[in-house]
Amino acid sequence: MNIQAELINYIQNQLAAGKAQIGADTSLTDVIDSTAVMELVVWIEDKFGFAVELDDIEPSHFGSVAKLAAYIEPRKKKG
Amino acid sequence: MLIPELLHQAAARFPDKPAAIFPEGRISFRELDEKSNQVAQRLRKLGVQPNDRVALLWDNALTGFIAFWGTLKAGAQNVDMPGLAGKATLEGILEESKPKALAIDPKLYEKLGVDGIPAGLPKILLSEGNFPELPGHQVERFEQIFGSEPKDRPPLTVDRHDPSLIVYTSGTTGRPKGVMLSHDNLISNISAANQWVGLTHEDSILVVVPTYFIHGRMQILTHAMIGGTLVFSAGFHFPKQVVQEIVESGVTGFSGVPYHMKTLLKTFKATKFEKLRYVLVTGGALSVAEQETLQDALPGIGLHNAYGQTEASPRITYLGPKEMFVERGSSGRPLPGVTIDLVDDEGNLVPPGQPGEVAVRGPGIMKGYVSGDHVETGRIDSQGRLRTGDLGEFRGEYLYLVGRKSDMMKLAGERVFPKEIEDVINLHPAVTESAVFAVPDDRMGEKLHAFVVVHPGQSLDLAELRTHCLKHMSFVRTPRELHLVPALPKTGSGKINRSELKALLQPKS
Repeated sequence: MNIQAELINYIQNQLAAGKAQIGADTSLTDVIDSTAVMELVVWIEDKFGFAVELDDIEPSHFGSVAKLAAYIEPRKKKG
Repeated sequence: MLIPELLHQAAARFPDKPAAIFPEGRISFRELDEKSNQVAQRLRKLGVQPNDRVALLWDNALTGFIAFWGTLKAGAQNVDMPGLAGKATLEGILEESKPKALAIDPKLYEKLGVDGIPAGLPKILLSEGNFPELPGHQVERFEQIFGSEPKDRPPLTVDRHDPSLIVYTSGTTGRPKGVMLSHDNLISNISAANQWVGLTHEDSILVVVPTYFIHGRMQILTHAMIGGTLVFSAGFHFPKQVVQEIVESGVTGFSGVPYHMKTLLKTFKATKFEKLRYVLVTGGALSVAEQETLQDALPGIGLHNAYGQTEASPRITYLGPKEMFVERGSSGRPLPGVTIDLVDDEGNLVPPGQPGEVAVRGPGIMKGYVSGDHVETGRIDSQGRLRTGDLGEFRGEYLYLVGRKSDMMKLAGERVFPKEIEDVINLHPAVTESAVFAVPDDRMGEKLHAFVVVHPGQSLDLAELRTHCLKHMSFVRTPRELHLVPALPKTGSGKINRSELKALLQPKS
């Protein structure tokens, strides 16, 4: 599974079930609670093996699945 | 004084000043006064009478903000509906409160109306944009209201003791409780809060909390009273962005629950604030060590702490910056007019120096629950005191909270009782029963665990159960950890033994 597909699978089923279908460009702030963002950060760190800097939790990286995948790709150490 | 008069006064004193700034636009006090008058005029024409109820289901946004004031200007009671709740909860609120009309965000109707027209939906709907026409319902559009209704305010014939706001909060019985707060209840609390924090018309605040809870409503009302500006955050998803909003908007105040403070701490530390003068923590307490860390991150900025419950309008005690590091760990002193008894199970005063349940009297104590069972459930006792379920003790005039008598949990500042969550889990067809409880969590305050028993011979995929939970309630209420067990331990009277369940999670020594 590529990063985008893994992100969609996780977000759809673990953070945002019951909400609209999530695509690569869906705005994440529209489909997940603010309290779920930190849970997503913990999952990314565990799954892809790198530490997410607090300053990186911003719309240019976390605005959508596509942006998040582009952020993870050059940083990932596993997954 | 009546709540809508706060806005009339602010509009008379500061007509051109921004009352609120949203990401999508700003509105002056004069314009807010006029547009909310137009909404009130339309509601009256539609047959909404003083003390009828009008529900509001809207995210933090300009139109919903105008609708809120419009309802109050019509003399109606505003019923706040929590946008993050599941469809069944929202339907339950509509059926219980029976609003004459509902102002609804088109975005939120996509969720509420996903399986057809929801139960309890009133005939009159106020919305905007692409809200659909619904058979059997009359849809009034704000664009049309603002283009046609007169801008003068309709006469207000309600009494200051009448309910003004109905705010839904978690209840011990498993259903959310509609807390009825009168104009008097709220005015007393707003006045005291503003006095204690020392707010003036030069103050302004960044709003990050949803306005359908009392915490958000208080920010709106306290600033209407002083003629201060509300700046609405684009959301709490991105900590750095929130701190940028504080700096760029030049607000003088920020209020949040401990979860907000912990999330922003590192960014606070790296930021120099020119205008911010106070930070108010409510909806739970930071530990003394966390308060010290927060103060280190915000040198020269006054830290305030308030303890309360929606049922008390909401503030009960208050601790200011001068006391914070003297009366360390205290929840503060009672607000003016508020008295606190520390009582035993029978409601008798406990001996001096001993902890007891915090029982509160004062001008802010609610009119009651919409469901009418505030006495039956013991929330208001035979002496008219609000029984908070919190255990406290006094050291001098300062209250210290030392525990809880009830099963209440605090999740990111939101008070929640286990039964509401257990009822959702038990809706799953494979589940026989469940027990939910919270354990301390550094970030969220508390983290939920659920122990679940399935019907004999059936299996249950925990990922599927989590999806089920997320479909029916907000993320913050969805248990982080789900455990399947063959049976739940019970007490002699047949109640779930939560302490035995908690012990199962303790590391074995």
